This record gives sequence, C-alpha cells and structure tokens, in this order.
Amino acid sequence: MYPAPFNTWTTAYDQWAHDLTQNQERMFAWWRLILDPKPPVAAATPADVVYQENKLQLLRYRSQTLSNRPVPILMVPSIINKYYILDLKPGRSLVEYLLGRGFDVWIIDWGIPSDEDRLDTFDKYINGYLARSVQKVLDLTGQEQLSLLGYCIGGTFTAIYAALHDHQIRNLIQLAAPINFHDDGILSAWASKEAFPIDVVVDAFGNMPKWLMQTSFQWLRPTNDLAQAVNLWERLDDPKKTDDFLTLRSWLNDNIDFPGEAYRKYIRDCYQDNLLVQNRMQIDGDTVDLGRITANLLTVSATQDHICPPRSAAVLNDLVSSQDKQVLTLAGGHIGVVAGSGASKGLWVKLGDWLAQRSG
Amino acid sequence: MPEDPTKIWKQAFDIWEKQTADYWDKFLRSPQFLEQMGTSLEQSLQVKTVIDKAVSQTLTNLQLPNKRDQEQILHRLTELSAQVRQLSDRVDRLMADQG
Repeated sequence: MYPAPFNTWTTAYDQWAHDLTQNQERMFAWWRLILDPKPPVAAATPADVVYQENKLQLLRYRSQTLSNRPVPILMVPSIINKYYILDLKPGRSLVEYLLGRGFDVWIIDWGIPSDEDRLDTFDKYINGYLARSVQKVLDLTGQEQLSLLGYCIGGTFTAIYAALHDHQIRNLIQLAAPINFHDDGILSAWASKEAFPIDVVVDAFGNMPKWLMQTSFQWLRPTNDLAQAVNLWERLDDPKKTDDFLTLRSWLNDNIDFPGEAYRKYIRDCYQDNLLVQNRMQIDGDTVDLGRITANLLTVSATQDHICPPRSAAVLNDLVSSQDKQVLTLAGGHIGVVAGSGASKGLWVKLGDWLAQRSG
Repeated sequence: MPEDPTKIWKQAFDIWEKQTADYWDKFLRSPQFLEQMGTSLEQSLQVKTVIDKAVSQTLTNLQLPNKRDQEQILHRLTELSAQVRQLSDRVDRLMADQG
C-alpha cells in the first residue's frame, strides 16, 4: 500500500501498538489477580480413602468408565511434596488421563508428618507404609500383581521396594527417580559429607524442615523466581495459561517436612555413600539388590532435570534383570515432564500405551 | 526493519538469566562454598542444639515432660495403633480363608 520504507515503519508501528495493548491487558489482569485472587483448584479428580495409617492415606480414584484393565496402578509420589502433582487440575492430570484409558488408579498421600514422626525410619517407609499400601491394593482388587509408579523420591522408594518384593510387581514405572546419587547434579555436591553434616541437622531439627529444603531447591537456579515472574507476565493475557501457571506455583510452595530418621538414612545411604546403585543398601537387614527386579520396567528421565539428572535415573535399566525394559528420555524439567503443558502429548501417551500392552 | 523492543528486551533478559544462572551454578558447587556451607550449617545448628538441650533439661528438672518425651509417647501410640490394625487385618484374612 505504501512505498517500501514506509511499509517497514508502519509494520513496526503496528507491532508496537499491539505490544502496548497486550501489556496493558496484562497490567489489568495483574491487578485483578492481586485484588481478587482465586485459589487454584487442584486434586479435583474424585477419590475415596480406602486405607489410613498414621498420616498416610491410600486413595482409590473413582472412574466414570468401568476399568477394563485388571492390573491396578499404584502411584507413589515424593514424600516432600503433595501428591496432587500427579492430579494437578482438570486437563493437567496424569491420574485423569490414565482413568480415561480404563486403568484402575490408586495413589499414596503420605500426609504431613508431625514432630513425633521424626522417629519413623526409612525402612518403615519401605517395608511398613509402602508394603501395607501395596498389599491393600492387591487385597481389594483381588490381583496378585500391580503396576507400581514412583515419582522422584517416590521412585527411589519403588525401586527399593521392587528389589525386595518383586513378586508383587508386574510393571515398574520410574519417573525422574534418582538411583545413582553421585552425579553432576548440584544436589549431589551439596549433600556430600563435607558440605552437609546430616547428623547435626537431624539432631537439631528432628524432621528436616520444608523451608530449608525449599530454599535449597530455589538455589538450584537462583534466577528462577525472576524468570518465572517474567513467564507469568507473558501469560497474564491468557486466563487459562495464567491459571495453569499459578496452580503449579501453588503446588511448588506446598511442601512437606521430611521425617528425621528417614531423612538421615536417605542422605547417608543414598547421597553420601551411594549404596543403592552399588546394591549395598540394607532395609531391615535385607540387602537391596536391584538385580532382583524382573518386573517390566519403564524408566523416564527429563533432559533438563536439575534434581535428577537423566543418567542418575537411567542407570537402573543397566542393573535390573527385567527382560522387558526401556528408557524414555523426554524434553523438559523435573516437574514439566510429568505435569507440564506438553506432558499430555508426551509422557502420558507413551506411558498409557506402554501400560496398556502390559496390563491385560 | 526496526526490531520489536519487547522481543529485544526478552532476548536480553534470557541471555542475562542464563549467564547469571551459570555463574551461580559454578559458584555454588565450588569447594570453597561447600566447605563454608558445611561449617556455617554445623556451627549454627550446634548453637540451636545447645539451647534446645538446656530448655529440655530445665523442663526435666521441673519434673515436666519435654518435647522429646512427648514425641516418644506419641510415636509409640502410633506404632501400637498400626500393630492393632495389622492384627485386625490378619484376623479378617484368616476368617475369610476359613470361609
């Protein structure tokens, strides 16, 4: 319409005007958020509490359709974060997705430990809480085996459990679950004997306080909070993206203390002495030999995972005796790979397909 | 064509953020930082432990239960409760097997 130089400037002007309008909308959205904040709706998938022990609750999700896959799935989340990362919100829920594909889905809600729970040992978590939850799922479903899905520390638990009780496990799914704790990750450096006097910490605090763990996670990437604020700004004109972002941030700040004696053993045996990957870890006197795992194994790692570097999780594949085993490395971070916007087309589909072939 | 200032700003921010994060990553895993972190943590927590022990001893001297006493009792109660539940489950299973 205009001569070439003017075309360039009019295009630029249109772009600037668009940016100005967009930033204006974001500013209004920002003020609406501050003046009328709506709490995020998380863990929306209906479930029933079928078993309780101390603070632990075992939940069975209600399905709208009849489950056509007899092998139930028991999800074991990390004990320092709330379980609903796996059921974040409608449309961003791995639980909801698997229910939709006809699976019978259960989950452990570890609960919030009180001061006296500092005496709960790591062994009790494996051979006590987790073992009884597994048995309860098998008893109530009438099945002899189940699929065990562990995420993060929950995945370390499930790997140990599978090594000790392999006969109960048909399929083992490890999501961003550290097995080799001596890696390039910064957490490995911080938890070393030189940097982290574990006995002094546990004796002083009892339960490892969530604020201290949260601080360490923030220091994994100190600029992250600022980067997230910029990310939020870019999403403010899209209500759905804003809600997704705020729901995830809400979960990130909803942490849980780590029971003291369990934490002592976890840090000493895993991070400092790295006994698990060497098959030298002991639980109630039994050696945890990962080579005893024969269940079908799917190990998932994330390329930008600062908490569980990919190799730290993938090493399990080399240690088990399973005939059917696979490593899946996906783009994303520790949380994004499971609950990010791309998870529904990435991990969930692959996980659903893998389980579908092995849950008949 | 004149660049979109928003895009320029975002690119500059992303570069700054990555470089700053890389710098901190290197610093926070350096031997000097790790040693300092361990020492600071140990010393500050030892002070806390001394204070906690003094408070605990004072309560004991006053014939009052301290925090650790209460935790032990509550923990024991929880264990007993779990044992009762397990026994109950075993009885249920035995009765179910007997038909």
